Amino acid sequence: MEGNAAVASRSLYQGEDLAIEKIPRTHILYIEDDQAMRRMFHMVESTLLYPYTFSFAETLAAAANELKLHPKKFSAVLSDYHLPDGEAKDLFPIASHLPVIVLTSTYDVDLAVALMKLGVDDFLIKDKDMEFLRLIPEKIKSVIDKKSAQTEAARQERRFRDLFENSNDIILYLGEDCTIWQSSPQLMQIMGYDKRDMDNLTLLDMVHPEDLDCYTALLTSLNPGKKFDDVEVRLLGKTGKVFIMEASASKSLMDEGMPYTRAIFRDVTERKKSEQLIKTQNISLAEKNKQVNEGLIKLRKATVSRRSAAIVATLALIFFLVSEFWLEPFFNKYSGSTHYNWSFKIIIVLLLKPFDMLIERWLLRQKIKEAGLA
Amino acid sequence: VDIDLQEPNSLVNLKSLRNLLKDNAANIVEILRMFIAETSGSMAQMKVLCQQQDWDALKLRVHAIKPYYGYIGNAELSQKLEDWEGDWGGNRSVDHLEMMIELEEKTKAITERLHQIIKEEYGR
Repeated sequence: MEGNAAVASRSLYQGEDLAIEKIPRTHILYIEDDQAMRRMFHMVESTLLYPYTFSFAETLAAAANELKLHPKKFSAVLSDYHLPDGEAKDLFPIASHLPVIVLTSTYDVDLAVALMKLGVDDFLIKDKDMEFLRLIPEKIKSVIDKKSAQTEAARQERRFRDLFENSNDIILYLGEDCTIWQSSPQLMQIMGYDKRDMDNLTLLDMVHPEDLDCYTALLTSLNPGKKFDDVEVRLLGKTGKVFIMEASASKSLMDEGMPYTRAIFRDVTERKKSEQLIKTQNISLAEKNKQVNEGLIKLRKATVSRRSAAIVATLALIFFLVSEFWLEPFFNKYSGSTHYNWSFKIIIVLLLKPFDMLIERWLLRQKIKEAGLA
Repeated sequence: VDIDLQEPNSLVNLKSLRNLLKDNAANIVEILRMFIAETSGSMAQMKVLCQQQDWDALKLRVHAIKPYYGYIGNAELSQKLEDWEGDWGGNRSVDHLEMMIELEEKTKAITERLHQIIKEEYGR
């Protein structure tokens, strides 16, 4: 990059001719039957007509042939009006893809208008002092820029139209009273309306009566430059079928200052049905889960209850045997009374129930924890 | 030497051509010789066309040579040819003949002057 910049910079400072050699030039086709004029173009090409380089054709037929042989070579066509085999107007459609400048010796408004309608981009009068030659580079640049802008605009228009026509959404351009100025084909495909319906219906005629007030209020509250998104609204198809739509809208001004609304609807009817179905299924599933959990807890509780009863019964038996065979002789030997033994047995019996409950609760907690149901 | 400035009504005024071609002698002489070749050939053809009263073909020739008088700076004759072409009515043979006589005479004088310029000013 630096090397190239250095070459370009050096070229410019070393002289005009060298600079011209280094910078690629734009090719122009000049249709001219006047040999002297062609020679003069050639003579001043490197000075007055820079940065353009000219190829010459003497007749329209030769020009057509040149354009056919080199369809990508030329950036513009410059043509004398009167030519041996016709007039500049016959250039179309031969050169309709290129910007065209017509050179005439006299200024004729009617001719200018007629040629402009055909697609000529500009005119230049061949004055007798040949000053027009000095204007040519500027004119060529102007028409090339204009044509590029037109081509780009047309390309963009095609892209937007493609998007408009092939979008899955319904796109509408509405007037102030919600009359439909333009609609994407999806309005007809999804909702079943035809073109005649479009002439007689407004958007509000399609809105479900229950949503009408709310949606109308939203639309009428829109100011130029403002928008709303993802509002759910129900629209009625031609047969009365209800479509659930996600709607967005924005208001803008046209070049003439006239307001318009761009409304976009996405049909979410099926999605909403699916969502509702999933929601119902989820509720049902949760209910069943709850029931299963409760059943499991009951089952575990019963198991635990039996186990804790067995533990308590074993403990009671152990305490009974201990009191009968060990505590009773012990109390008899040291106090001479069996009342202590009876008291001990009564305490044991009284504690059995709370003990059973404690063991049962502890076992149940362990079980629940093990089963992951806590 | 710009003799044309000293003779404002002369048949030849090369100021514009010299400006355009940046006084490049070779280029100027080439254009002047083109004028001589084109007009002398055309005069002969146009005389025949007048005799044959082929006015359409004559109009085409007038259109073809018209700009050459502009190149050598004869605005008056160039305008006259333009008017002649513009008013073309078809069978006005007398007018055409009168124009032809005037054109031939002036072209002859211009040609002589150009030969003189080429020789005296450009040494060729």
